[in-house]
Amino acid sequence: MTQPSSQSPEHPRTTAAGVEAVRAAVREALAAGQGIYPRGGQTQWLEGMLPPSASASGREVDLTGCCAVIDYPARDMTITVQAGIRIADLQATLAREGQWLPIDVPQAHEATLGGCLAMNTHGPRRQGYGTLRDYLIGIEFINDAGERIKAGGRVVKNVAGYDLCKLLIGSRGTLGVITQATLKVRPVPAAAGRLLYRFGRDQFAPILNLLEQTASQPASVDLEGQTGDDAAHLGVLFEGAKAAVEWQMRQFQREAGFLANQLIEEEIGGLGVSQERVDYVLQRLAAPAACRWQLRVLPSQLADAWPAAQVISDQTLMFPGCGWISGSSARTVDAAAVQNLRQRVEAMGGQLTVLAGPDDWRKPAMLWGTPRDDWALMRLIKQHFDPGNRFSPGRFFVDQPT
Amino acid sequence: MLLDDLRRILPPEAILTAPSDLAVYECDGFTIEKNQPDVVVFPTTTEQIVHIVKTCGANHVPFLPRGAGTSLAGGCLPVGGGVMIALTRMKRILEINYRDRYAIVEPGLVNLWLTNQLKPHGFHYAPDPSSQGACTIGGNVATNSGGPHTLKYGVTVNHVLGLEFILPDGQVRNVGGPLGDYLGYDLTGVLVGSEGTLGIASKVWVRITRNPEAYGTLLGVFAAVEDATNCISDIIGAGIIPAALEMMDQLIIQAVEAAFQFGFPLDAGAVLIMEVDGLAAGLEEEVERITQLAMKNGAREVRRAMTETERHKLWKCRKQAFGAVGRLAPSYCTQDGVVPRTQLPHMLRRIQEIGRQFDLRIANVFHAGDGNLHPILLFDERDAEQVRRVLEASHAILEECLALGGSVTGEHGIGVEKLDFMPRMFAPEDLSMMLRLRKAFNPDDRCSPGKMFPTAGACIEANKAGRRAAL
Repeated sequence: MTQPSSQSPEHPRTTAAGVEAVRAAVREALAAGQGIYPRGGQTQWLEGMLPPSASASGREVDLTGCCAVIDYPARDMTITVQAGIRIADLQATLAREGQWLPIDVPQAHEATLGGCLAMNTHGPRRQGYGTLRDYLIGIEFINDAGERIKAGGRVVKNVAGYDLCKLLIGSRGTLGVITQATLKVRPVPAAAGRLLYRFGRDQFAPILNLLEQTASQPASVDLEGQTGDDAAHLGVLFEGAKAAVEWQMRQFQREAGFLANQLIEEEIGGLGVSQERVDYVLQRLAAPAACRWQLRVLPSQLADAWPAAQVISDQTLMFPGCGWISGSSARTVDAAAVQNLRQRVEAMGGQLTVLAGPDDWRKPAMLWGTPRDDWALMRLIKQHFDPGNRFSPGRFFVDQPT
Repeated sequence: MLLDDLRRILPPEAILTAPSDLAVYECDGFTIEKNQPDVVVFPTTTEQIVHIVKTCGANHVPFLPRGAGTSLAGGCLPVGGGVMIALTRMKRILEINYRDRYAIVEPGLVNLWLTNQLKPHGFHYAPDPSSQGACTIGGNVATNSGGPHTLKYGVTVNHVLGLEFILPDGQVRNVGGPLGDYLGYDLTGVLVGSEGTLGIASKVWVRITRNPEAYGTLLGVFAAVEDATNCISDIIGAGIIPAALEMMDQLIIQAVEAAFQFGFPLDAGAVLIMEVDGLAAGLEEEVERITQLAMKNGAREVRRAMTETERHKLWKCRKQAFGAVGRLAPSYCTQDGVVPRTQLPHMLRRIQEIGRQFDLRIANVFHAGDGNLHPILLFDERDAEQVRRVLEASHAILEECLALGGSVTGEHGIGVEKLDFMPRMFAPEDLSMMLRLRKAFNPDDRCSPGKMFPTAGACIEANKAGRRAAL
């Protein structure tokens, strides 16, 4: 979600039109002994990326020319597209059939599907709709022999062979170059509703309780706080059949009686009504910042994590249904303060990752924290899928994985 | 030697070696191939599994995990013998956290027991395979099991957050956890559905789901299968996502009616169970829309389960349909193919043709909303000629699924039954990539040899011999 900047490692770039061209570029780089960095819209390019000196000589393979819709049997509610397709273009194609992929992506006009898969991108609607792993049913990628590898398929239910789709989600380009994906998609909800409240610091605990207890089923809930402002905002979105949305809007307001005179927006309509808030939140998540990080804890741990998170951020967004807090600061914060927060989060069993920061933060311990128990298995897979460490060297694994 | 080692790890009642005891473990629900393990062990702790696995390693003996043995593709067939690690005595629920919506369970826990435990608190475990009264969560993890309600709620992998996983070399690793996704590769996602070929799950973190506020459960009665499949296509095409959309054809209706006396019309060509759930608000409109679509497609009647008892009875009929099939023939082989949902009408016609061609009765009960077919081929396993025709007809059905862009398995797995189809679904380079994963976790192929990949190793010949012996 960081803007491309001078920090970006400079590599020669090949723009490839079509899968065969991508494959040719990969083969060429493999033959030349170069590292390969698949490149989409570069909206999350620097996340977890090490400084240029840590990356061996590499070649960027630009996939934005590999963006065709391969097959869209709308009545089967699946679509097969090339990985370089921009998320906004994908959604526009689906919208023509009254369908969508309910995954929120910042900078959707730039971001590509392949990039989102590699980063496991998600947004506020994660609460109601899950993540890309719930939608990806087939994949094609180029492996370290320059071969086109397929896994999964084009039907919504399929357990033939290992599900390599799952392995590639969130793999950050370290296992191969994703060239094509098949997704299951959903009908666009008929109606949407939005509630926006302003609340005070002392109401934080009762709000978390309310969100746990509510009989409504929000598609997304966000809490937005800013340093220096004692008040914060609560956005609650509902999506679905009109009658269901209307009932939930009423129900939530009944349950949120203690916030009754703090309601500042209430609207029901089409998907645009909820999208407006989602777009605002996504913009906040991608706004330029000197430092940006996110943490995940269990919903019951949010009450402890939120005040601690606010200490080092001037902007904080919380998604209580997902146990997810995102924080950012316009000025560089003290690395030790970030590590303190991380220690608390890791002690809870959670995880804190740094998404943006000064150059000297670009080391594994600062970006990713303490490796979890399964990191050894990730290395094992990396060794077998990419023994030469050719795909995105420097991401996840600093040294040559041996 | 091996037995001596195992006896040092386990109490006597946790080891079976008598041929009469081992006979129980010679196959799963796929009865066409059988082979006895050399020994069956019943560990009760992670540490015991680790010791067993290491002992097998030291003695160069293959091993494989087993749950309740309800799988249908030979997934727990002990190809080449060895040690069968039965996990059915590891059946505790270790933690239930309602606030954070997860539970930690042992792999031998029966699927339905978890839901029964959660019920008083208004929660359930969403994956509900038809065998849920017997099958284990660990087995569900191995096969990535589905069930009637996966149409809306997803399959096992969508509800497993993490695993305690024992690698074939005895290493124990925690993969994922209560938060579900963490930084890095989605190892949980790839281990679920790996059919026991990468190691053994000794603990499972599962998501628990709040019960829907209301249900609308409909039974649509159709004169012809074709009308029912057109109705399915229309419901999905109309943008409705039912919780379940299940079809039973005339043969099944007759068997189920004989077993349970639900009141199914015996002359109907097909019935559809159509269920929507969720908030009460808006549910009636969906029920109404579905009813209209059914009538438009020639349903002669749409009944609604008006009470919870009626709903349960209807689902009991559906879930126990496979058992009722025993009334139709001495043996049956349940197939598991997937086609794009719009191809269902074509596919069902083709199944009828194949039945005629091989002179076999084929009944159909399946997850129509997912395009996941379960043709049930009726035969008598004592007649080798019938067995041959069953295998050939199965093959023809699965070939057609592939020709339509589908899959040879939606939820039962490859096991040993569908080994030959892997090269039909995947190119050699695709398979070699999957084998790299297998090699990473299971380098000596000691864990569940002879499964999933036709080229996985030396045990293939033993497997083929087993097949011939069974025939």
